[in-house]
Amino acid sequence: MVTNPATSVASARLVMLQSLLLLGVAVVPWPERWTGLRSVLASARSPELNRAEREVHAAGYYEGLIGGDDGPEGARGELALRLMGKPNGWVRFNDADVSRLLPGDFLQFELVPGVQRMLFGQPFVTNSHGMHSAEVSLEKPPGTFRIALLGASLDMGWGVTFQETYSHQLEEWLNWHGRRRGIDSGRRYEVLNFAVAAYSPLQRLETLRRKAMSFHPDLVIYSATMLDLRLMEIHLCDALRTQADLTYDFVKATFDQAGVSRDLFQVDGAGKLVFKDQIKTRMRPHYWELYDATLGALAGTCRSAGVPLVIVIIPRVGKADAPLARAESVARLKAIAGHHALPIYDLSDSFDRYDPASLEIAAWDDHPNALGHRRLFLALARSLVKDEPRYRLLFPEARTSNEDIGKTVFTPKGASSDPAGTEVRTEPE
Amino acid sequence: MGAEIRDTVTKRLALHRQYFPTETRTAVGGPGPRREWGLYPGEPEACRRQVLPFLRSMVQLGLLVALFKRYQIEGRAFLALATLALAALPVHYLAPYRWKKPLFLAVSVIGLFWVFGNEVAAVVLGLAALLIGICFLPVSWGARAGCLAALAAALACARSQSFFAAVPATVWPVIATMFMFRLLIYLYELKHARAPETLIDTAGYFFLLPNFCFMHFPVVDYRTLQRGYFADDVHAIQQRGIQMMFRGTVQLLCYRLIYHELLIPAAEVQGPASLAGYLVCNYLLYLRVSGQFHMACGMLHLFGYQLPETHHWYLLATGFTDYWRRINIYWKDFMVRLFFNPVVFRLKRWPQPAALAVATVTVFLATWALHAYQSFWLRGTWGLAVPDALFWGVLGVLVLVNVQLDARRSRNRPAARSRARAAGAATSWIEIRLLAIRGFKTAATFTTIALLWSLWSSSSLAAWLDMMHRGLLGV
Repeated sequence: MVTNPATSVASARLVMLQSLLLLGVAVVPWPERWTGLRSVLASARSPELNRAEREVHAAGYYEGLIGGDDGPEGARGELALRLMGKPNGWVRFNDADVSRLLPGDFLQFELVPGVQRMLFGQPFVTNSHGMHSAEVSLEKPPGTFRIALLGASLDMGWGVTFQETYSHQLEEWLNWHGRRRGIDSGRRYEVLNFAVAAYSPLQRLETLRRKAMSFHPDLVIYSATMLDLRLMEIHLCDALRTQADLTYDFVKATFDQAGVSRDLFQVDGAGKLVFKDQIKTRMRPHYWELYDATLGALAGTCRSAGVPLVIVIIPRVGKADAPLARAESVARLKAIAGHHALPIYDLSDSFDRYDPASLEIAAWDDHPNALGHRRLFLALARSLVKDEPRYRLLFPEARTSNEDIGKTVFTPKGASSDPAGTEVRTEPE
Repeated sequence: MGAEIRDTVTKRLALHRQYFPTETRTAVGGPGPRREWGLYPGEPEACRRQVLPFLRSMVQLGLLVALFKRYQIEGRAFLALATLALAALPVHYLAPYRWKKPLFLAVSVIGLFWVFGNEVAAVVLGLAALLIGICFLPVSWGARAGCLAALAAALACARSQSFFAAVPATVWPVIATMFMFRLLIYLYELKHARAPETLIDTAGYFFLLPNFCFMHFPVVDYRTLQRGYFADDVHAIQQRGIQMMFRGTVQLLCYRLIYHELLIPAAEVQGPASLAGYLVCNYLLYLRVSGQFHMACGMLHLFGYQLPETHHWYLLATGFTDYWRRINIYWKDFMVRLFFNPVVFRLKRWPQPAALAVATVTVFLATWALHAYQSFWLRGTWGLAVPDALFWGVLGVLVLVNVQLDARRSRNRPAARSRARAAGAATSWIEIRLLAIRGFKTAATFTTIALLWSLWSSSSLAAWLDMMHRGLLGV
């Protein structure tokens, strides 16, 4: 008989020792400054797609085969998700029956008003205006300070209730903070969440003009993510595919500049863009310019209405937005904000110190869970407190310098009976 | 393929001939009244239970499961099945020998339900029962094979035309991964076996526990699986399995490091250094396949199924036939049994080089077609493209040339050996020279395969040429 390699107690012990060693490496809390080692370990533990695959499926025959059927571009197939542990009833945004298509409209889709569904074991509720938030009136009640939030799924809240979103927590905190600090001018605060999953920067701009401005906001928060260029690409291809009017002159100008003529807008019988790859290739070098123009238009709209605009950078959970991976995008977003003289809060490091598994809604979905939204809220609240002009805009009665306010509000060991305050204070400095 | 034309002195046996069947092993404790410690009456010696070796296996497996959890290896489905294996192992180990196969089958079916849920699992079970049932019909082999081919064609049409919209989409890849290749092997066995196969052996062959977390699964040979069953002391088999699983873990971790830390998108190749980096990393993504295969076969070992290794130092291959023999050994043996040997046998009156050439071409055409077939069942698309055809075509030609050279070398080898003996050739400088030649061959093979692999991974030939242009000229 041909035998297999001999086994011995020594070889068994060796395997056991090696396993223990690997386990030890994963368990040891390595110092934060050892970024290289931490990054390697995070990679070893990460079941996520890498950058190349998120952007396009490009890793070859076996990579696709192991994952089973193909998913949407830059996402895993259904079978791969199932093997990762996705239970029955876990659906993508497009399949969740909470949005409706707007054929031929530049906006492409929006949340359906009045949705009341159970998703992932939690209620997903939209108000009568199609926002993932509590009911609000179109008319601004007297003495109310309104903040309009523009963003995508990270801001809308996916896999969490609207009460758990960072925008809702911000609203609660604002209403509580003035009273607690003794700078209450009788104002009520409302944070209107206009964010919709997969909205690109252009759709956020369109939402501001078409929807948010009619609610008379006093402050607009624009959420930028590291996924925005990809969302812009998807949105523009969909707009061309559905033959929607491109609406903005600067968008049309960018197409001209990229050499994408109307000849390339052809759609086949199945409703797909015939020259999609060519359009994508030609447009790719121009997306940051287009982003710059979009934020310029957004800033212009806000300025002409006399509404201050703040940009926040919101990260995804996990390796996709790890420090090295996001560095270029963050730098570019800051440069664009600087170009338009807009304040920008970089919250992209909100998740850096934490285990991604504790912050994402599931191993196969990198949207922040309730704890992730809590981290985002804390980072945003801290940024607002440190930004004196915005803080005084929110709390005109405030007299303390912003440094003092920051220390007071976020002192780790305070004593207050207010639950929101308790939670804020538990955040480490 | 390669094994059949090598020097007969070092000839390896085909996989399905590597182990003696269980019946030939020493059986102790016959049907008499006395019961030996660790054995039920009539059980083979290989099955003898011992506390310490088994506890050692359990501790090691427990450690591995902790590793899987900590590093999130291969998703929750794999973790679920590894945990299930850990829980089922003591029961399987203690169960009488005659209950072990049914128990393994039951554990596999539980795994199927756990991973895919009731709806998918129920449909898969129904279809599997139908396919296996046809194999047992009391009609001729040809009629059964014809029925199965017709059913497979009908299912393929139904899948592609969405006739069965009510059937969950996940059913198709799951049923495919169980049957698409193993059914071919099983039919081959049915045709050539002297005795009919038992239902439990058949069902156990198709319901392999790790298959339900690894859709891309090694093409396990039916006879090898049956002959390897308790072919050695069970603790030794389990140890080999655990070592295989550990090797798989390391390979999967290496894969992740390459995938996340080192691999750049092909579009970012700019200059020779980035091209070299891309070529190497892109090829090394295959570590995921070899890692999964080690993991799958290792898990089978835990339940007494001793199997040969699936990959053997394939990065160190010294030629293209050597590469073909080392990478995905199960596939190579599958091709040899079903295509290469039958063609060579049929052409036995032809000159050997011509027969080898025809058989090699047949193998590569079959490999290409079966990869497309596999892609259809697992992904829903045939995936036939120019890079795909070029990859298999070029690799086939390279192996064909190598096969011819190997055959000629094996005919001349005795004369060369005697010359070397006469010259007292075993001097150190010759060894160094041979080592250098081996190193050069390994590097050349690795480079060629990495290059071919990048072609295979490209979306089109134009995209690959563009990447090579950017890589070589830096523009």
